[in-house]
Amino acid sequence: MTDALVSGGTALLPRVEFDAARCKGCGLCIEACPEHIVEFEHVFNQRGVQPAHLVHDGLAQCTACGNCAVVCPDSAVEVENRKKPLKYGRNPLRVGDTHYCPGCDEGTVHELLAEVIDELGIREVTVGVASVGCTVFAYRYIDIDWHQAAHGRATSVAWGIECQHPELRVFTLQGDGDLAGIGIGETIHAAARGDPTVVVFLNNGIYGMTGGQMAPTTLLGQKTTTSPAGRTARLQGSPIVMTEIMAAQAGCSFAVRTSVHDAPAIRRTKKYLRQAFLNQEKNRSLSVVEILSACPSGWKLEPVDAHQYLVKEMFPIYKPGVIKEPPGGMPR
Amino acid sequence: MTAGAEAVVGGRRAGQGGGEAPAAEEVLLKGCEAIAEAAIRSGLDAYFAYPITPQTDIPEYLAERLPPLGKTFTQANSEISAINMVYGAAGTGLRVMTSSSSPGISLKQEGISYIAGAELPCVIVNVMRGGPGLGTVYGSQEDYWQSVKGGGHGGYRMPVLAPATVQECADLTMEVFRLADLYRTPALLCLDGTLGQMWENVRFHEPDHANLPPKTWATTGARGRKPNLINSIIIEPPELEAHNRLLQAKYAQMEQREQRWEEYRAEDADLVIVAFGLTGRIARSAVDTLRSAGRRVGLLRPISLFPFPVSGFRALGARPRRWLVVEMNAGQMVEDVKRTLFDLGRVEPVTFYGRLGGVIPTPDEMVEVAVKDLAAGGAR
Ligand SMILES: Cc1ncc(C[n+]2csc(CCOP(=O)(O)OP(=O)(O)O)c2C)c(N)n1
Ligand code: SF4
Ligand code: SF4
Repeated sequence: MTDALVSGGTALLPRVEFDAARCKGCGLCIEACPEHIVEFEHVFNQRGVQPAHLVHDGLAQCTACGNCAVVCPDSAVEVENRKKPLKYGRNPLRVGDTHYCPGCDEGTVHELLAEVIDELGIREVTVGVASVGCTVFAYRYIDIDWHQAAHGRATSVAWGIECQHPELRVFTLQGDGDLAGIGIGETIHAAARGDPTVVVFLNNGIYGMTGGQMAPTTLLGQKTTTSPAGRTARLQGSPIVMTEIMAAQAGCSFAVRTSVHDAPAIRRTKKYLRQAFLNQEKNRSLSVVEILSACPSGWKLEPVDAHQYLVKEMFPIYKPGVIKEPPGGMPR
Repeated sequence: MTAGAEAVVGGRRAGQGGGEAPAAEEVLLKGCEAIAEAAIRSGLDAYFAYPITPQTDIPEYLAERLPPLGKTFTQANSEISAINMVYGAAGTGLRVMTSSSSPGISLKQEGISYIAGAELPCVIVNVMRGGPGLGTVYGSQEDYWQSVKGGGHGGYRMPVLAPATVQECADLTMEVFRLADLYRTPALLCLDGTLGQMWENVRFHEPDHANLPPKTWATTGARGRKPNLINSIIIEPPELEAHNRLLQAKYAQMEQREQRWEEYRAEDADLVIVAFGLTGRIARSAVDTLRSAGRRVGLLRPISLFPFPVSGFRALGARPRRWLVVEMNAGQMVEDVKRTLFDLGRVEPVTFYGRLGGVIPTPDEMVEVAVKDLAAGGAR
């Protein structure tokens, strides 16, 4: 945390701290900084990567926008604006270091969930359902009660948890293979029943955990280890656009598709997650927040390039935006 | 218990707490309905299932009874979904049950394995029908192996109780809930479809559910305590080995404490018929017929299929005899009988007689097989 010393100077300068030990060297903060004052260090950390830090004298140019902290999937950056009560960084509910690959969007979503649960003050009544996929260990990273569900069954597990416990706030964290592949029946029926679950759907278009096989959501033409020549409609069928299917069920009262590929998108996604939990309380029916997520490892792209791919290739098929507004308008 | 004057019920008596309590009124119910009613009286909070013959009387009964009590009845979109709802609900500390028949129980196996791994209490009812495949809706005992050897993956076991009468359907349902909570385990009530559809008078006793451990592990929201986790993934082999050792110790404890059987006129028998569930009940009539003809034949009816009632065999003493195992399958429990006799150092002939595909063996058939067997052994 050498940068803490650099930033310690004048009271009015922002405080910017990079946690070198936690940094996975994905470079997303460097890309996100509008002042171009973040760079990789020359030394390596214990992970064997060159961690990010502020350039020499960079603090003088820092506007305390918080982007570097917001985009860091590993919550390794903290920014404090000492002129205003604004702070960006790791929420206390976001615990431990993740097993996610460098630049994986799934880490970013954990931070957002921790912040939303904390800010809504629902930590003591929230139960998360981790699924089978890269989020299998989600329970290690947010300090609440958890269930770990079998592949595809997270929404059924969620209904089991909440059926006799109306006081509990239950959410699932599911990949696209989990939610749209093996668990598509469970997903649609949970939406049809109108279970009061917040479904957080991480769509990375691939089976990440098992090493990058084709998913139901894989794009046409996309190469995966099980569609090595690229997915074709004739041979492998076309991508399933799941959130629209869920939104078509009467029991689903809020459906939105979003992404966490840059700071504005992350801030939007946090707002949607918050609205989903508010909708859960108000309408007691299903909310789904689909988050288009980059899987740099599965896509075999650098983290920054993966986000460009996401915008260019995924957005046209999976259009971001509110798909179904709750009765009575968007929750506040 | 239908056991007559000469019957001895071994091991724990089935769910008959407060024996002094005023006898409840008799009601006429089907086996399946008795199970459903006993589950309600055991404090059932939530039930999840999918229709399949011949167990559909259970969901139909509970669909009517549970909602007015403020309890959950959910018809799931599949048996897979139902067992995963069970996993969720059991994890919050509720009394939970699901039921199905053979093909549906096959679908539940992954979920049962998760529940065993995560050590959650719940009750599963299998009203067995003939297979393999879609087979028939008529009752059978073809799921014995699946039930007692750990039908899903990962080498787990669970208590399996097999009623032979509608009264036992009620009593053992209450008992299987107790076992589930006591050992933090899925527990199975296993009967054949014919018993599930059979009408008989039944009396409901108060469930004997005192002294069960508190569910401090339940996910009810992390208020004033560290977060709780319901989980079956333990990636590091040494850690998973340690977890498995604990599970195995639990199964060993069940084997020590939870064996149940019924012995009927077997003490002086030259031939002991071993049969469970409906087959055991039919064998009882065969024993009576054979006894009236002066043949010394008795019955040993396993009530707990896991743990297998080894003590019931031991209790019969050293007197040499022949053994006849009758099942509604091609010979599954007979393997456990042979293993048990071997372990007890007995080298006696074991004959097997089975009917398959939903065909029920008659008392006359059993008498004939027994007479032949006795003749083969030199008796007249
Ligand atoms: C019943 C079952 N089938 C298959 C698997 C193997 N498996 C583990 S993770 C996974 C893919 C998960 O992909 P996805 O849901 O898209 O999540 P991601 O890993 O991309 O986050 C599969 C097939 C399993 N664990 N269980
Ligand atoms: S975003 Fe986080 S993990 Fe990635 S380089 Fe920056 S500090 Fe390191
Ligand atoms: S495989 Fe993909 S989804 Fe999984 S942790 Fe790595 S980058 Fe993230």
